[in-house]
This record gives sequence, structure tokens and C-alpha cells, in this order.
Amino acid sequence: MEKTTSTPKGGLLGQSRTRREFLGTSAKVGGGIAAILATGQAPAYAQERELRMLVWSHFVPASDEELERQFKEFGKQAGVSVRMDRVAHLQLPAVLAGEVQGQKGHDIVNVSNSNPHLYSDHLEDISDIYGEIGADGGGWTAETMGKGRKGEQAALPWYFISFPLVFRKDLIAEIGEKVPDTWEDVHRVGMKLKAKGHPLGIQLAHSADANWINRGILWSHGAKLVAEDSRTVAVNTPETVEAFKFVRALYKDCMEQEVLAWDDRNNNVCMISGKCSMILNPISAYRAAVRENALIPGTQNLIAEQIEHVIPPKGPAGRHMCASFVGVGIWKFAKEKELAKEFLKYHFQKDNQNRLLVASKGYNQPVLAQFADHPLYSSDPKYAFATEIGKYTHSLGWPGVPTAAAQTVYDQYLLPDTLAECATDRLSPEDAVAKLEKQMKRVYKRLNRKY
Amino acid sequence: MEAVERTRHDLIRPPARPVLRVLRKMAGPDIDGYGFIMPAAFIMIALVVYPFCLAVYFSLSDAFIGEESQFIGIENFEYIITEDDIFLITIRNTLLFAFFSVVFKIVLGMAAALLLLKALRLKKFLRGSLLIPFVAPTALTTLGWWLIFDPTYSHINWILENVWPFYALGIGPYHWLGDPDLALYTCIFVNIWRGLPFFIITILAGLVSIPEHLYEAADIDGATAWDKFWKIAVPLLRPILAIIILFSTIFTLADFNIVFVLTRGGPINSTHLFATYSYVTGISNHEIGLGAAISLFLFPILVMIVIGLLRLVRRDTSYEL
Repeated sequence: MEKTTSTPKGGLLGQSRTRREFLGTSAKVGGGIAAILATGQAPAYAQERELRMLVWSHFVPASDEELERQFKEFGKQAGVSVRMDRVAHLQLPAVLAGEVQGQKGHDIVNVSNSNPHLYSDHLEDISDIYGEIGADGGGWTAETMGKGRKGEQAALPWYFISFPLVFRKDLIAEIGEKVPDTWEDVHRVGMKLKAKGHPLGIQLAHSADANWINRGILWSHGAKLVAEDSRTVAVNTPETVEAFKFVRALYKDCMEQEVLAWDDRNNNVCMISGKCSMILNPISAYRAAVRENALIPGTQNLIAEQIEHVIPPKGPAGRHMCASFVGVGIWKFAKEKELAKEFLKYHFQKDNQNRLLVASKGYNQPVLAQFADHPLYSSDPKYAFATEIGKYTHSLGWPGVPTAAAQTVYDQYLLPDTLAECATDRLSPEDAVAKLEKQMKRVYKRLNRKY
Repeated sequence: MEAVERTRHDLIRPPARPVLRVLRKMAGPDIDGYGFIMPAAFIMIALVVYPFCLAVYFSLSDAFIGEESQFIGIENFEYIITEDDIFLITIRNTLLFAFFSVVFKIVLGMAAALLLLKALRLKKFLRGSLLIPFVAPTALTTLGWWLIFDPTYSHINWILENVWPFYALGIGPYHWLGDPDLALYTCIFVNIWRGLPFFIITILAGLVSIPEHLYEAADIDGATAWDKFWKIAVPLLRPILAIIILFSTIFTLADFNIVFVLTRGGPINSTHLFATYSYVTGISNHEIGLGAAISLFLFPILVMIVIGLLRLVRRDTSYEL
């Protein structure tokens, strides 16, 4: 008679096992794991095709929901399972770096601004679908975005977040002025409104907005940080000195010292609280004012009704603004490259793009000319600027492409810092520009050698 | 008979196999001890030694995230010292940040500990509540300070502008985070606020452990309160002070959260510390080699500080009646 050692039936651990059964099961499980580890492959029944996508966690959750809906719908049609992972935008660089370092991860990834150039060796050349999608959508409005180091299309431009001039129409009417169309208008109107306690708000600080807006001011004055080849520092010119002088005048005459410490939230707060008269910002300040039913201080009037947007002001060299361009690419080490391309083609169809735009409440501004004239924008005067602004908005590194060096200049806040030194009279405009040139040459010398 | 010749040791331990016998001969009688510490040593090597050696290698290489790297000697260090002006500002900021933070924490920590030693009412409540800034997550409490120092709606500025006697005296408002000459000291203030409880509680524990009879003997000899503080309390607290100064110096030099939340290194780089600048360079800019060189720059100085303070700890102070 076989003797068994048994544990009580049922109980906390559920079904009981004899010692012999336990050892047998353990051996099978252990052997199975050892085999998977040795071959580096999961058993056949676990190898379903799966398309995986990594995106930043959008600040409008409905945008993520719509994207996920489309992704699942595509998966259903293609007969594959799909998985979408979202990370906070500040964590995205570290996750991308980890995937590149380990050469495994998602198939489709969210690669913005300079990432396509930085990860050029690890991103699939998708020039074929770039051309196809562009032709269907009436052409791309951001031609420098998504380029790799050899000029290949390493990512598709996805959408951009623009910087129109946001202003209080009631305050401008009170001083008998018209809506500013040029930077000189902004200076004149800003000076009058600051005297009435309603300053202009443009960050000269370690913030993303400071980087975008001040590049726009420089470009509008005919200055550029780098030449068209994306490698030669071209900042030390009379035009840049003039632009620095202009920013100094804006700071002294129209702004307050607090802009030296502002982050990307502060200009919104300043506008919604009724203090600021003008800022340059995406539509988030207006949306927040609507959401919070913010009132003009001392009145029962909604501040949102008085907030308007227009395309960025014009300078001596025209109308230019810089913005964050969000892109999407496919890793070279992706398991499902063809499927990933198919999804991108599906996602960039007009209907799907329009749905994403609506879900994002207009934040995700299209980079395809045909999609820019969306009813969401044309039906609401507050958004009228949006159909046009793409023509004047450029990516980081313009007139070149966004490169690793351009990103370093951005991340080290070299432009906002030198502008702040000039604005606060720590350096003359000429010395501030010379300092910026020296710092940029240090960065470009180092990174041109590498990339 | 053979069995009679066995020693007591052999009776306890079964006869070793030849290989083990050779190993025992080589490693001495403590071979079992090595076996026991092996798991801990393995964890230390995997989690401390290996990452440190990797960081040292990175600092001596042209490593970029996702790229193959090459050994370039001390080129990264040469670059940050001779060419990178932001790094030179960072050195100045870090040293000022660590010096003022640690000095104020010692002075204020000692004063508060002496007060708490004498406090009779609410003693337990005061001692417990003191730990809150130290226990709460730094990023969260710093967000609170960020709102207090908000460039547009600073609570402190509101008080200075609206509460008597401040508005009568015309003090402020100040741009706590926007003024390049003031922002670093604002960050230092928050660091002191956060680290002070650790100093107070540790010094208080040291003060409590000093035998009462030493003070009584000093009283009989006619010592003043000042004498008792300098000649009894301070010498006996020396080992504790050395340890907390050591820990505080290391943590302050490596501080990241406070500056990253409050100023992100601005305005005009006036608050960048080694940790924040290293993060920007190594992670945001992908120059992991350069980032490692920035973060390891102070390592030799830190080692000297550690050695000096540990020597101070070993010099013991004792009194006999």
C-alpha cells in the first residue's frame, strides 16, 4: 500500500497535493522555465502576434482614449492583439533610452522633436509611408520634422501644439488700441497695459515655453541659431543682437521680474487670474478659464469671454513661431514592422485624424495641410487662428532639422538664459549673443563629432 | 586504535573531502564564514559596486545612450572644467548650497535640541511632530514650498504686502525663485527645513544620553551653563555630530528634488547642482558619459571628507569622576 503525506483538504491553499504530486509538478514547471530561458522563446501557444505602442500620457485624456479605440479597432481588423502603454511625458525619454539600450520593447513609439535624429540608427526608415500619407493629406506643413541623420524619414510628424498670441480683448479696447499684429504692436500695447497693472507674460526662465516663444521672436527678427545644414552655429549676427535688444525692451517696458522664474503653468495662471493682458500659449489658458468659470476680478464677467487668440506677431523678417512637434516612429528592432506601418496608414486616414483632433479638443493640431481646416476650428472664432498657424510654425533647429545638438541647446536653456542676462542688464545684447554663440559652439563641436 | 587518536574537533565535524580540505588549507579556518557572507557580498557587488564601476567607466568614455562607447580617458573632465561654463557655476552653487545648509542645520539643530531637552509641556507631541518634514516625501513637500514661493502669488509676499508691521516697514515683495541672487538661498532654506528634524532628533538623543552627574559635578566646581555646554555637551556629542554632518553633507551634495521642483536649475543657472545638471546632461541630452563625469566630479573630495569625519568619530571623549 502506497503511503502518502497529505495536507488537509481545502483550506487556505485550496486543493491539497501529495508530496509526490508536488515534486512532479515542480519538476515540470522548473523544466519548462529552464527550456524557455535556454531557447529565449515562449512556447508556440503563447506566441500570438501582438502590436505594441508606447505613447506619452496626453494632458487631454479623451485624446488617449480615441487613439486606443483606433488601435484596438485596427487590431480587430488585422486579427492581432494590441497593447498600448502610456507614460508621463517627463518619463518618456528614459523609457525610450532603455528600449534602445536593451534593443527590445514596443513596435511603435512616440518620438518627438529631436528624437528621430537622435535615434536615427534605431528607427525604421518610413519614407515610403511618409510620401503616401503626405500625398493623401495634401502635403506636410512641417517638412523638417521627423528627419534622421542621413535625411531619411525616421518618424512621421503627428501633430503640433502651437503658440498663438493670447490676449484680453476688453483690456486692449479700454486703452483704445487694436489687436497687435506685429511685435512692435505688442511692445506698444504691452507698455500701456503694464502701466494699468496688466503686464505681458513671456517666460525668460527654465521652461519649455521660454524655449519655444523666444525662438519665434528671434526668427521673426531674421535671426537664426543654426544654419540650414543643421550643423553650423549662425547665431552671432546683427539681427540676433536686434532681437535681444527687443526682448530686453519687452521685459523692461511690458513685463515683471516674475517671468524669470515662471514655468509652463505660470503664464496660464497669470492670464486666468486677470493679471496678465497678453501671453503666448497654446489654447490651454482659454480652456482652463472656461472649465473653471474664472471671473474678471471685481466683476461677475467670465474671463473666457474676453480671451482671444491670433496668429503669432510679425517681425521685420516675417511671422515665425517655434513649437513642439509630436512624432511617431517604428523601431528597427520591432517585431511587427509591417503591421506597425499598416496601423500608421490606417491612423492617418482623414476620418481617424479628425476624430483624434476632436477628442483632443483641438490641442492636437494637424501637420497635414488638408486636415488643418477642420470644422472645430472654423466654427469657433476663438480657434480661427488654428487653420493658419501651421504655415508659420517651425520645429526646433529651424531652418535645419531638430538634431541632438539643437536639443541640448534647448535642454540647457541657453537661449532663455542669455536673454534673461541681457534683459536684466547683466550682459549687454552684444555680449549676451557672443556668450550664446560660445556656448552653442561648445555643444555643436562636441555633438557634430558624434552625429 | 585510530578512533582514539581523533581530536575533539574531528568528532564534531565530519571528515572533509579532499577538495574542501585543500580550500580550507588555503583560506584558513574561516571558510564557512566566507560562505555565510557570500549572499550579502553578492548583493553589494550587484547593486553597489557594479553600478559604481559602470559610472566610473562612463565618465571615462564617450558614452551616449543607445550608442557604442569608447574609452577617452579624462577628456570629459577636461571638457567640463575648461569649456563648460555652466558646470563652473554648478560647482559654486553646490558648494554654497552644501555649506550653508549643513552649517545652519547644525546651529539650529543644536539650539532646538537644547530647547526640547528643557521642554516639559507637550514634549512627546513636539518631538513627534518635528519629524514630519523629514518623513514626508520631499517632492511633495517641495511642491508646497513651490506654491508658497510662487512667482505670481507667493504667500510670503502676500503677508509682506498686507500684514502689519511688514507693509508698514516696506519689506518686500521678493522674487524668491526669480531673482538669480536670491533663488539659491530659497532652495537652501527649503533644504534646511527638510533636514533640520534629523539633526534635532539625533542631537537630542545624544544630549539625553549624557549622564546627569557630569553636569552636577561641574555645578559643584562652579561651571557656568556656557562652560557645561562647551566642555561637557559638545565634546561628548562629537561622534554623533560627526556622523550627522557626514550624512547631511553627502545627502546635501547629492540633492536633486528640491532644485528640480522649485527652479529646474534656473534662473540663469543660478541654482543648478551636480545632480540636476548631471540629469540634464546625462538623461535629457543622452550624454551619459559627460553626465557621469559631472556627478563623479566631487567624489574624491567626498572621500576625503568621509575619511576626516570618521577619524574624528574614532577620537573618543570620556570623563571620569
